[in-house]
Amino acid sequence: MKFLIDDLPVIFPYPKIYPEQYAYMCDIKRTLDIGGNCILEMPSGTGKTISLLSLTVSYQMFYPEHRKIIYCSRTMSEIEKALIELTKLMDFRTKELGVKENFRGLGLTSRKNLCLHPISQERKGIVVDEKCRRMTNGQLSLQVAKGEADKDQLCSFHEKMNDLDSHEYIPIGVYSFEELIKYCKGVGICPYFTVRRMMSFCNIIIYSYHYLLDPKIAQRVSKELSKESIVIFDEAHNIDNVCIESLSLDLTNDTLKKASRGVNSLSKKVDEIKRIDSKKLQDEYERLVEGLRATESSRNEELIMANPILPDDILTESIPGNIRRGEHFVMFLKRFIEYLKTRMKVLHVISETPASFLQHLKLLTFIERKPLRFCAERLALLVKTLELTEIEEFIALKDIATFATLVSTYETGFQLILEPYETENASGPNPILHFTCLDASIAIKPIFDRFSSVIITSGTISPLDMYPKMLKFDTVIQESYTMTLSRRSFLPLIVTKGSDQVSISSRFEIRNDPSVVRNYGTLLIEFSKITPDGLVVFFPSYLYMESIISMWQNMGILDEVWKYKLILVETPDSQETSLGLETYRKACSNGRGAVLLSVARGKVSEGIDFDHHFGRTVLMIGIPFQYTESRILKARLEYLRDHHQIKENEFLSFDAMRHAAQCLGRVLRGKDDYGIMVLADRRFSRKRNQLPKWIAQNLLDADTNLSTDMAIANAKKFLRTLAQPSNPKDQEGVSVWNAEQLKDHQKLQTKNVEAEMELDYLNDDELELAFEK
Amino acid sequence: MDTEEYCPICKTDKYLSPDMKFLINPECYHKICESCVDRFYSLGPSKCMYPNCNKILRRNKFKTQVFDDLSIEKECDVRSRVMKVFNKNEEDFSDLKDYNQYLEEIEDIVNNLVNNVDIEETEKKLKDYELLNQKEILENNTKQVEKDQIQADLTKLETQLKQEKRRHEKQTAEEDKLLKKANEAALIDQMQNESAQPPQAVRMHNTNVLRKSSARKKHIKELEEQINMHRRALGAGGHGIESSVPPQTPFTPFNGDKDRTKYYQFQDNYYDPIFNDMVSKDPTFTASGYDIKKYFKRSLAEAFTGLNIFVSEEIS
Repeated sequence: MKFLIDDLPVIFPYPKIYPEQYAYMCDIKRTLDIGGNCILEMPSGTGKTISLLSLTVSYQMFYPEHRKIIYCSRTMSEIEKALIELTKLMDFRTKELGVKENFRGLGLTSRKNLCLHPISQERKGIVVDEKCRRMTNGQLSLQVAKGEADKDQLCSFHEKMNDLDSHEYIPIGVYSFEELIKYCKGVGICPYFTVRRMMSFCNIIIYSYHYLLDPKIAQRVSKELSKESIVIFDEAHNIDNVCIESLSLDLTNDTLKKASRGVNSLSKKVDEIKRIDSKKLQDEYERLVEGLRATESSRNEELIMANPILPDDILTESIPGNIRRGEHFVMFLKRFIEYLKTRMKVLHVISETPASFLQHLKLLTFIERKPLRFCAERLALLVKTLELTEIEEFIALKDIATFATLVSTYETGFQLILEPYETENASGPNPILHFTCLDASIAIKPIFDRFSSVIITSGTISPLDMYPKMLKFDTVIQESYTMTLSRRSFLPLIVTKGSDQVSISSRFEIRNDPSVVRNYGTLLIEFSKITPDGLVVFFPSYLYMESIISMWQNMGILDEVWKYKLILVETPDSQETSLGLETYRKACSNGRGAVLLSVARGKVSEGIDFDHHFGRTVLMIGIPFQYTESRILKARLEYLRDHHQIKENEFLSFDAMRHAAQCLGRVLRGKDDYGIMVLADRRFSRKRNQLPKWIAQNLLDADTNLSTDMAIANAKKFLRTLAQPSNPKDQEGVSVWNAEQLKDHQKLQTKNVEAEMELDYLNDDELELAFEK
Repeated sequence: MDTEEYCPICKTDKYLSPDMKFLINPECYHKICESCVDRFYSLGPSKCMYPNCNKILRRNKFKTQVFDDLSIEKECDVRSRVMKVFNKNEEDFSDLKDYNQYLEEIEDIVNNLVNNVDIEETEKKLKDYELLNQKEILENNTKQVEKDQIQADLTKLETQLKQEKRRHEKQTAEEDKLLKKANEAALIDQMQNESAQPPQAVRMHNTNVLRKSSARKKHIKELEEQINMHRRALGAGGHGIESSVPPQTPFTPFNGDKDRTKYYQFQDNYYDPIFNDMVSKDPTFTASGYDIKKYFKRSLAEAFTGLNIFVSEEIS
């Protein structure tokens, strides 16, 4: 299907389009035209990804600027899905236009997923990364060229790439990960580095948003992206947490031990080099004295995205004199680590600001703030000068240096929290020093500064005005779309009391009350009786889930459920969980039916879809609040209150509701899908307006305060209605448009606009007349 | 068990007496338990108890160990000594390069002292520098103390502000609640009595609440102002190199109200027919400290100020 939005011809790969998709595309286009940021909430299962892609690609190809698209998503599977959609779209475009466009689209994921070398058999991603780095770094290949090292140490796939020119690694087209790996295997080059180096030749890049947000990675991966690029954050309802995590750091005794080992070997290396080749260090030293660093690394502000870790003034200023010499810097690091070790010995909780930390540091070790700021930069330089190859030895040291730089750079927005005991009744101390970022806007600021349009979108991102407040940016458009449906295809219910009229809640004081647990149990039994195929249950936390399951077992509730459905439980272990999910799918498909007990902040709630018979009912037991006793959360709440004027309760409830909405959205993955959404907690009835618009709209007033038996009766009726055969013709014109209907709508719209303008015009005339009189 | 967890002198074990504390002396950094220190050094300076260590130790120099690593401990001690002498700040230098050179010099000195390289020479250097720059060192020390004081005040004020804000928020929330309740009650009353005016009590309450909250807001604002002042004071000290701007005078309505223009020329001798004689003849005037010159000065000032008359200009 091909249609026009204003002057832009959009090619949409399906013959029909949903009205909300059209509205969504119009808003995106307007945002791109004006140049600004927008937040859009598009119901899940209404073809958000394809609308995004088809509009942005059309936009890119039509206008002469050819703005590059950076599409960021959350998980590997979502990235893969987007790539497949993109392939479909490009195939359709080729067919429609008759020519194959000069278009290149690639996805990037971790080395572990893309590696062709046998090292990818390692289980841990970090190990693969390190091994890969060792086999591909320039130092080693120089040594090989000189004949000092064995050629087998190098990665052959990486070496092969040197024979090719960087723009001809891979021909034009869109590649999913599988196709990419297949192609690269055929040519014998490394897929990971192909994507990394092809990035500037791509029309669209699809990757995880860590590559853009995490300053440690972004600096390496995403620095060459041009200013006009269109940045899209899909599934962005958790974006503030990603921002915060990317700037937070935890230090343990283990890290410190490793770091001091790293420092020791560093100092040995420095001594050794001093003996053998003192010229190298001297060269470095002289460079630093002259302050030539800037020219060497050629940081052009236009070209490279600002790094929140390293503010601009650091880049222009030269390194302070007391860490200029290698040996001085090593001494400096040793002192800093020793200081941290001393701090870790304290046996009570400490929460302090970076300023007071620095003051104490200066008092004890005479480390000033300024050299500390240059720590990360200086360490990187030293490692480079010494030509160290075993980088993994210095990971902990790097962490320390990053910590040093961060702690001395930011006065506000960060907090240091030392927790000597892991749990409250732990016998031995196991101190952790949390260095937490409290302000999500710090990490994302460079992105808003650099790129002219940033689109933030998700299925559940209500309330919309929370995000601009937290991330400190302005929006051009904020919109939440509703779902047009020809029949009521999902039924949200709020259950507030059991059949015995005792109110149910996961509130801490009453959560282990037998009557509440029993009421939740009967709710589960009843729904497992009436729900066809799959039933998903979400709990607020693992701890609560475990306790409630054991209580259910004692009450015989699980035995009752067992009669109707298979019971499967999510665990923190991801492999166990994926096995459980597989069994769940099988049981749903072969008619046995299953119940999946999972956790609202776990893996299941985030990336896994329960479309069609895999999820007919979702049961939310309790409100998924965060653990409010956590000191990190407390610090963050305080910060939000003081600096963003967001009250504690407001934020907690917002955070709980976005997770709840995310869980609810899992069962409805399309317009032909149907499902029941049950929110079982007394407190939900007051939080109704915090649900996404498309869910809240379908929630009738009558359904907001139900008891278990009423809910069951409603659900039964709903299921019976949906069991009737539906005529797909009913949808046409209402929830699905074909090309003509779309044109009619557009005509109507322009007519309306004209009428309005005329009205304005008339009003003006009247006014003038009135004046004349 | 850690092998170092017992005192090498009296062999007391940490396991058996967990309250035991180790002390070290910056002369030789040998670890001794507290009771041993009391036993050996309470009668005056004595030799170190470790075999082959001939350092003379004093009791008042013993201290608890801060860092696990003794070399770091030593380094920090050396550093504290050096920093007392080399206490210039960045703002004392006109050029960043010079400052960096200076920092490196310090680092070299510390390094030498810690690693026992050219100790005598370095010590001499240290002493020379101290002698040469005695005055500056003292000045900088006082400056540093002042700065620390400001910093301490600032943190104190900031916590105060935070608490105040918190309290303000809480009270406002509470008052809002009360107000809402009162309004509701008033509404019910109104519906009952069908009188158009809200009752006097509610209105009174409203104004009261408003007054209170504005008073609190004012208080918070004052605190914020104070903090800003402190910040500025700190900031002025912080960016020395750039801030060669002349110090700003406090605001006055007439651009500094000291008028420094001279209106008249004061001469040594004036002749006043009455006073000259009286003062020179009667010692009671001068005995009480009366000075005739002062009298002339005052008279002249009275005559010229306010009229803005410049004698020299008038004559010409």
